[in-house]
Parts: sequence; C-alpha cells; structure tokens
Amino acid sequence: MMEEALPPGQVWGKKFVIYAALGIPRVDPQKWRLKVDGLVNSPLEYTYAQLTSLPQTRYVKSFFCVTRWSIKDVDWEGVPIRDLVSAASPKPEAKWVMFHCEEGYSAPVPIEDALNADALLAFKLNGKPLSAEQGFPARPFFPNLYAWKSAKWVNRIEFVGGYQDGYWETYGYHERANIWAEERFKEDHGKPVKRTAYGTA
Amino acid sequence: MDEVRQAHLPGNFELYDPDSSEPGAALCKGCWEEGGVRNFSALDTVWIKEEGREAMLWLCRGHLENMKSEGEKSGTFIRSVNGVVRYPALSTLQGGRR
Repeated sequence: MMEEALPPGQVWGKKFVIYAALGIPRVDPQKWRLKVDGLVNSPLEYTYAQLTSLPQTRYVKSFFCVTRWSIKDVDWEGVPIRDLVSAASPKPEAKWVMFHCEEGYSAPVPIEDALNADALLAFKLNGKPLSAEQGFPARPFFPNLYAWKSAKWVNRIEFVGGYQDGYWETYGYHERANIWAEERFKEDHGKPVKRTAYGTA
Repeated sequence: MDEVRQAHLPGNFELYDPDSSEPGAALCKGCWEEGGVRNFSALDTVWIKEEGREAMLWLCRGHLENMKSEGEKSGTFIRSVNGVVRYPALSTLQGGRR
C-alpha cells in the first residue's frame, strides 16, 4: 500500500497536540446555536439536534497543524458546510467566511475553501462526538488548510465581503493557509491574497 | 528525543514530543536561532512591533535585555512580562471581532 503523501514541511505525529488559545469552553448542546449570517439573503440559526439530524458525510482524511505535526487517517463525520448554508443563500459579493467561536476565537476562510465539497462542519471524530478539547459541539474541517482554520467550538458562520484577520492571522499566520502551497505565514509563497478592509471588497 | 519545532505562537520555538498531547517546553528564541542552544530557563515574553504588526517572543533575560535596549531606541519595544505567555489575549488583538 502506498504511503499517504505528506504536504511539504510536515511530519507524522502520534497524538493531537491540544491547543486552546482562549481556554476550553464547556458548551451545553441544548443551549448552543449555530448562526449563519452576514452577506446572506436569509440568516439562519440551527440547534445541535437539527444539525446532527441532517444527512451526515463521513470520510477519512489527515490533519495538518501549522507547527508541522500531522495526524494520519482521522475519521471525520459531519455535514458539508455548503449544504447547511445553502438555505441562507449567500450573496454574490460574499468572498470570505469568518468562523466565530464560543470563546472569542475567529478564523477567516476563502469562500471557495469554505464551500468546497469536502469542507465539513464536523460533529464526530474517530466515530465519537467531538470531545470538549476537540471542539464540542462542532468545528469546521478543511482538509487542504492548516488546522488553525478548523476552528473549535464554532457558533457562527459569517459571510463577509473582504478579508479580515482572525485570531492567529493578526500575529502573522497566512490568510488562506493551503497545506500544499505551504502557506504558513503571510509572507510565505503561494498565490497572493487580496487584502482589503472588512466589507470593502 | 524531543525535537525543536515551530511553536504555535508565530516566531517562537518549543520542544515537540510526538507521544504527548501537550505543547512542549518553550525555548529562548535568541539562543536557539543564534547557536542552536536549547535554553529553557527563566524565559520571559516580550511584545514588539514589527513591520506594523505586533509580535510576542520568548526570550531569556540576556536576550530580553538586548531586545529591550535596541527596541527602545528603534521604537519597536512595547512591553515584557515574566514567564512564557503562549497565546495572545483577545483584548490585545487588532480589530478583534467576536
């Protein structure tokens, strides 16, 4: 069997390293809501029960941290993001998607990555509901982006017109973060990313 | 043996143990970049302004003093605190939207 390709600069690790920049929130799934808003025609709000009763997609894909460790063959299960936001009808001027989280973390993702067929809002990891440390009740997962974009404890998906820094981007991490182009830091190679003030693109 | 890797806080370094789910011990950025020395002792965190962007660095007392004296002349030094701060506080983020 062929060894799975590693993106440039990555190494295989054995365990997830748990980062929680702003602490680990303990979320009550009865009270938690996921909002879909911003540049959309019909803002939405989902409960955990509604989301987990939607048709789920399951696949095995590896996980790549910008600090270079990687976890092979992680079993992800959730709802394709483009399925759950389609009813909100994002406006054509929406170019980026900001993922907001319970504890204040945020991560911007280009709309083409956020709505890619393999972009999931994950509820399960390796066959079990996400643990608190892994982002319960939900986190997006983008197989082609470094993992800081797969923001844990997400509670809002906001469509926006232009790029704006999220939590780590303020400190120099790349706008898009493609693992194959090795876009770790803003000055890294990869396609230039248009940077505009929020809402002006 | 643990390897030295990029820390999650950009510009810094820490040990990486593939068997652990905890971030590894922080190193002095100056000692590591100058001579490949793994210095873990008495590190402090310094905030500087670099190319219009705020950065946080983990440094030993010697490297902190150098950074401070140079940074005060050039206007890049902001502040320092004792110990290793691994993550920026939300309130320090520029334009931090919730």
